[in-house]
Amino acid sequence: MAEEMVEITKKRQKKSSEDYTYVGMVFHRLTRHKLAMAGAAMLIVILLFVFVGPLIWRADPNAQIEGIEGMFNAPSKAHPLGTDDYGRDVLARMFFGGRISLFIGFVSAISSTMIGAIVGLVAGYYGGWVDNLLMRFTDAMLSMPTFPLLIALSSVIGKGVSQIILVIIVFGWMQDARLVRGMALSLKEQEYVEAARAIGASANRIMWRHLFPNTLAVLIVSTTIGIGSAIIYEASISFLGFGVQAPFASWGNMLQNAQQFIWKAPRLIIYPGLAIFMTVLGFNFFGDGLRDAIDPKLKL
Amino acid sequence: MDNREVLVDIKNLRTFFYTEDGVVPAVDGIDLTIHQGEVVGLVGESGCGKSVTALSIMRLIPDPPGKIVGGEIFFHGEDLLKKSNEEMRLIRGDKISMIFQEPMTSLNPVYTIGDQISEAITLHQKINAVEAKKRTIEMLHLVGIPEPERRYSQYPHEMSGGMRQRVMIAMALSCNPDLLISDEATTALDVTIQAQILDLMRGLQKKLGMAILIITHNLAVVAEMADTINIAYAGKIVESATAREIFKSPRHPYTYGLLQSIPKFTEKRTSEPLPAIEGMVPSPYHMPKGCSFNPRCPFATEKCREEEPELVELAPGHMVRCFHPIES
Amino acid sequence: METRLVEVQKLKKFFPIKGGVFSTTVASVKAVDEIDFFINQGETLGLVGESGSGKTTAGRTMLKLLQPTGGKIIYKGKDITKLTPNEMRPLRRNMQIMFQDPYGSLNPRMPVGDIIQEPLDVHAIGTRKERRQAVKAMMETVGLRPEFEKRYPHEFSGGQRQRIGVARALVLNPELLVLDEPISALDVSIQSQIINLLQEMQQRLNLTYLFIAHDLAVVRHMSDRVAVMYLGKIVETAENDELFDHPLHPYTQALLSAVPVPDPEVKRERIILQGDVPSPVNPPSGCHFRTRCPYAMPICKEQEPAMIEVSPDHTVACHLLTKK
Repeated sequence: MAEEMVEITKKRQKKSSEDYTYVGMVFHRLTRHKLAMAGAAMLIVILLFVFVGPLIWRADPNAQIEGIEGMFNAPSKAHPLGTDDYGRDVLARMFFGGRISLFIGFVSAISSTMIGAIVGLVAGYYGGWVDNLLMRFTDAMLSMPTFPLLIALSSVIGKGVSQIILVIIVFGWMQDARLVRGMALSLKEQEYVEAARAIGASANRIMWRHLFPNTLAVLIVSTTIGIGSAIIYEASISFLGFGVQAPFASWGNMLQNAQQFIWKAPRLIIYPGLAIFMTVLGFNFFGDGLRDAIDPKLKL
Repeated sequence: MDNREVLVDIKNLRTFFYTEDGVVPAVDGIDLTIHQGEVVGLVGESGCGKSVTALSIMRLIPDPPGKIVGGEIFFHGEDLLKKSNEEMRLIRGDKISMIFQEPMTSLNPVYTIGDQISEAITLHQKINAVEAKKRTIEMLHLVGIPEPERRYSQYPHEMSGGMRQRVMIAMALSCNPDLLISDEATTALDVTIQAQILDLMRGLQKKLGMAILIITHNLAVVAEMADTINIAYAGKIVESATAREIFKSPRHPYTYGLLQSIPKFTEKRTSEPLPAIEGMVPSPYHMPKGCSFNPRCPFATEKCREEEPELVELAPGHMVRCFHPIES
Repeated sequence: METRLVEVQKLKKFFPIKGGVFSTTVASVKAVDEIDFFINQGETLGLVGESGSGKTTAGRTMLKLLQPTGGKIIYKGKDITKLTPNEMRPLRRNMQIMFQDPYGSLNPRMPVGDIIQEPLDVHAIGTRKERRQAVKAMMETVGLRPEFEKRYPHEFSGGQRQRIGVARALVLNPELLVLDEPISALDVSIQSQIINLLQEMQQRLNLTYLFIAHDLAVVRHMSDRVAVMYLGKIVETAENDELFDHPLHPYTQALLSAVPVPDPEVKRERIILQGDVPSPVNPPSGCHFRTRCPYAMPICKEQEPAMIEVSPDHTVACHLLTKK
């Protein structure tokens, strides 16, 4: 019996880790991560909704139906999600608002991660006073109360999509800087970095060819989760009225707009709220799964 | 030698690891006999299954992913693989104990070494705290730790690597085991400290009479310590004989190649290249068909590539797993 | 007449230990404490010692990967001690290092072809095509299949990775190569392959080696001359057979006698040293070895023994020899 088991298991040799590339291995592990797959499914639904939806439901998000009978319509054939206080089609506004929210999320998360990576790499690699200066600045940025400053800032630079992105980047790079600095500190002690110095490689080369690629996996995770929080940020800023301005829709300002009618038309809050919730949860699940998948010590 | 009572008898042990990448046959046919009071060497390179064998004897294979899938391990005539976990717990640290390569990770940093040894003693013996402390200090003295009373209340980080390994030995021997397993216990130590520890182990073995299973990759260490030597390659024992036989007339091409390839410290320098074994240890995921050494063996034939050789006794007490053993 | 390729004089490397509120230097680790040695063109100097002896630091300081605290490094008659990293860069072509750890010394995110090519890129040698050609030729020389240039380090075994390390170190055609424990992380049957490769390369390319190791059998096999280090000091230097057959310093004698021999029939007289190596933060006064020395005398505590030449090319630092 035991003999048989041995023979069978020997024959069942699958591909081993030696046969995979790094990306292939991460992908393989990711597909076995249930939460990550749930997150990915949620994100696919959202992306399909936002990008394929408008191709199927062709309605102008800013077109208003004049008159009182056009306002607060319940869902119907003509307006699958009904209309809002200006008589605009809510489904179409959800599509376009989603695009803007996602755009803000992607651009600001990727940019703030890049800035954090640069600050962290420079601080970690050079150490000494450079490190001290950059990290104290990072600490200072972290200890600022974001929202009051934000309101002050938007009165200076104005309101709108690019301003919102700028604000999220300015207040969003610090965690990544700390993360990358910590990694750079340990990576620069690796022998391959010493080997690079031994062949005469410059500091720039060591930072970008040797340190950066080794932080990339972690940065991708951080960006993924960062997209989720940037979308929340956008929603909060828009909710306060300093974000994306009418008539343009974003999930955030749809939410803000709807709060006056919370009793009259609660569905106007539920739709964008649910969309934000699903997107952020999807990015967080997927990011967590990615983090587990790139950690070789973790058994999946 | 052979009229001494058999203490451990391992027959065709097989321990596999079921990883997400496939099955790793870490131990795939280890046979090993240890007589009472004998020092036995188990030698091999990384991945040969020597440490997994030790953990299998202790029944400490992490499950999952590891599993002992076949064979028997007789200890005092009883099969350890048939024992319950509770029975095994009572044997571990009492009748069989083990020391490891890195003593730092085997000692808990937040307890004093005295507390840790006393705990090991009270776990297996019905004695009170005062007696346990007395016995601990006795043990520390036995393993050559100066000022054992003071050292009793020190923490592991206050000691050097050599001293920590002495503490581990004291703990391992505190219950008078019949078998001490030493898994690369001197590998991480400096040469002069290694000499101290080997000297200590030899002395204690004579004094206390326990059997020792020395697991190492260092042929010189077993040459100095062991009565009999087992050579493992890719999860199997390929040769087993007395130390003298192994070094004087190795019969397996792997053993022979290994002995040839190590530089001789006692000989004058030559400019000749070392007779190296070509190729590398096979990956456990892609074991070659037939004899696992055949891709590297200068004597391999068609038969070696097709069939797996059995372990056969070529001379009294000299077992070899090879179709074309080297003539003695 | 043999020419000296590199020489260090009174070389010192201390690592500060910071502490206190203002992170001032409270003490220092005296890793290398005034050592002298030289290496002739084309020879191998073995540098042996136990952990904490400072042998690795000595090798890296000689290459100026670490800035020396004191002393001089003379390369081909030129004092390179005070050169800035930028001034050192052209010299790096001639002096390379190979590391112990076959896993840590190769960037896991770089294909091996790029790893081996990087020195050529850094020094802007040849065209892109020529560099690639040089990489492939080098891979072949060290026994790697050139078609593996696109693979990543984790796809190679320990021995193959050390071959990659050799290829990276040799692709610039250097004169001096520091070998920092190049085989001690490898399996026994692979060690001899790498030893043979290193010796073959030395003969073919007329390389000069500083061979740092703790395995005395390998040092005996590889080296022309041997220097023994203990706690930051060189205690004895001699030609290979002379050192192994007639060690004079009590530490060298103990070290050699402690090496286990792979032959059960050889029973050797063994000197078992007592105690541990003291901390390099607070080395003993006088002779650093006196706390473990079986022949320690009162003078050993008070005075540091000077290096004296007992016979041509055999120098020892021990009071036992000055007394005579």
